[in-house]
Amino acid sequence: MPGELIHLRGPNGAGKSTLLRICAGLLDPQKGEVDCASEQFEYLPAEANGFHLKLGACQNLHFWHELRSGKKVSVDTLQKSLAEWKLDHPIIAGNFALPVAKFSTGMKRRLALARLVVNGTPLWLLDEPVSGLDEDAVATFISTLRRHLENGGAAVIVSHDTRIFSGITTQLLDIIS
Amino acid sequence: MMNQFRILFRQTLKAEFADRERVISPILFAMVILVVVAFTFGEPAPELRPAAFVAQVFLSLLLATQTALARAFDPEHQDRAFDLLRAAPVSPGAIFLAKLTVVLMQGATILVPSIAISALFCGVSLPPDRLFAFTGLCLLTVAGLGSLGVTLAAMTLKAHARTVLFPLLFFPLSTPLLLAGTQGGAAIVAPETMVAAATMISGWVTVSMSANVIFLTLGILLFGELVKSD
Amino acid sequence: MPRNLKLTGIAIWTCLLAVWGAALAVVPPDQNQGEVYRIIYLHVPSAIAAFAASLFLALAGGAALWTRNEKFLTWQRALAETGLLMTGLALLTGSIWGKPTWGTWWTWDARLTTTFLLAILLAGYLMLHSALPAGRQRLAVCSGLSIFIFADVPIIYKSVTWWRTLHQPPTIIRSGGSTMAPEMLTVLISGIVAMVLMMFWLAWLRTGSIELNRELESQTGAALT
Repeated sequence: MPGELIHLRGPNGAGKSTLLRICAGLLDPQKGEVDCASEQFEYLPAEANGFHLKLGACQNLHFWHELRSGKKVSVDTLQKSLAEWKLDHPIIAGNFALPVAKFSTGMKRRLALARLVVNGTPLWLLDEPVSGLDEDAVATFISTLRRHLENGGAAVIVSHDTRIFSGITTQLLDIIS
Repeated sequence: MMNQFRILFRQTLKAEFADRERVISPILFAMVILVVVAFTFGEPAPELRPAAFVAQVFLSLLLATQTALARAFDPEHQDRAFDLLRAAPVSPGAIFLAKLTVVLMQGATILVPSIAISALFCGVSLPPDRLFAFTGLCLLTVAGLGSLGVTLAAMTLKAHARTVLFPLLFFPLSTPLLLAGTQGGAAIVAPETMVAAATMISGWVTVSMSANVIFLTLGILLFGELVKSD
Repeated sequence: MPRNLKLTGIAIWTCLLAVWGAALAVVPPDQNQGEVYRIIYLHVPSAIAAFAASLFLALAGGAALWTRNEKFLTWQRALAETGLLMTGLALLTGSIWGKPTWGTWWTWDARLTTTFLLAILLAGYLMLHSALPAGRQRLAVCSGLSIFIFADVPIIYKSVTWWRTLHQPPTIIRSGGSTMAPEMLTVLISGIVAMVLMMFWLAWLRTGSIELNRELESQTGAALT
């Protein structure tokens, strides 16, 4: 499983997101079982990012990292990954941070992807991770995904955007409705 | 679990304070109720003043905490942070207790001005020991309302028409707490000696305590079930 | 209607009608209240059936949480509905009885208040059940609420009793009591048994259509997602 990337594919309404929610333990499967400890994976839904909207970028990232690992994340690591995702503007990363509610859709998504990198969870369960992102951010996502897989991470991705899989060994899983 | 509680509590508190409207509007609401009650009753007769004081405090407390509790999980609901919490390795008990602690702090911020202003409006001045006992009983009521309300808020989170559903379930279930609060409170405030009222007060405190224990235990147990997979 | 459901239905209806017949024609009138008191044979059984419904509602809730079986949720819904019917009946007959004997339609008596609150809670339960999307979450939420209601009812009763007895001289006429004639007691007890069975039978009757409804729900739900 380490280093493996699975692309979940299928027409709209086939149940890709549902399968991902089942993997994340948010839904119970009608048949069968899911065997995955919640420490091992991180789930990102398609239409939301799971932030406290009234709080700033750093407050959100700090919270999720500390909650998952029990340790505080170093300011350096945080700033570095914010910079990687072009979120290092003082208004966003500074002390008087802009609440996430004021972010654009793409910025929120970039922050959610930065959270994945900061948390360093081995398995990523991503639902349409690059929807709403610009060319630049998609490129950043591809390089972080590569780095994640090279470091022994794994990912299950639902996406209609095939750019992100170019040049990476991918297992295809087709879902038929 | 303690560590998770601490982290969740801090974040919940921060999120609450980041949204001033959420902190201030229940307090203002409580004040508005106090004024409306004062308008309807006018100047109460001297012998009715203690009862009017207790009635005002609990009326504003109940209605204001209800508005605050009904939307207790809104900050987590907005961007589906609640779903991510459910998927993350977090103990449900920690989520429940963190939310409850913040709710209790909010209840206290509603309570203190309510008592002060009602006392002013009704012309009631309490000796320190009675004031202390009365505030304690109010806090006990707030604690019970809090554990009941946080559980119900989590239950009704995904229901449509939850603005109607929440009070419909919250008010009848809170009956023992309210009766204990108002009756015990009246016994504390009434101008008899404390010793004469002592048995009555301790009886009502027992009722309130048992409601508290039941709501808290059921709340923690059921919250675990609610956070589980669909 | 399944055969055994029909047969039990006929049997229970016969018992109930027999009890009502006895209550109206066989049992002697009360010394103090005269003929009016005969409503007791409808009032007390329906009140007891209502509280029995809330007990079994909570039991079904516990079973649902334990087994995660939707069947118990169906039973919960059916029991809540019949329970609401019984509380309604108890409140109505109580009111009608209260007017000539106490001189008022309504008083904040402990039993009345508790029954009234139980009616509101059961209505709230039914609303919550309809307001939630089908699934495991609804099962957990509704079962949890059923247990909450059941745990709260005794302390509501206790606190209301306290509230009234502390502030009012106990002027309330207590129904029943040890002075009841043996034939009256026999009819009353058989009335209670018949009414509780009727409550179950009605709930059983409802489970069928609720089950159908749920199937329809899950079919359309599957088509949409």
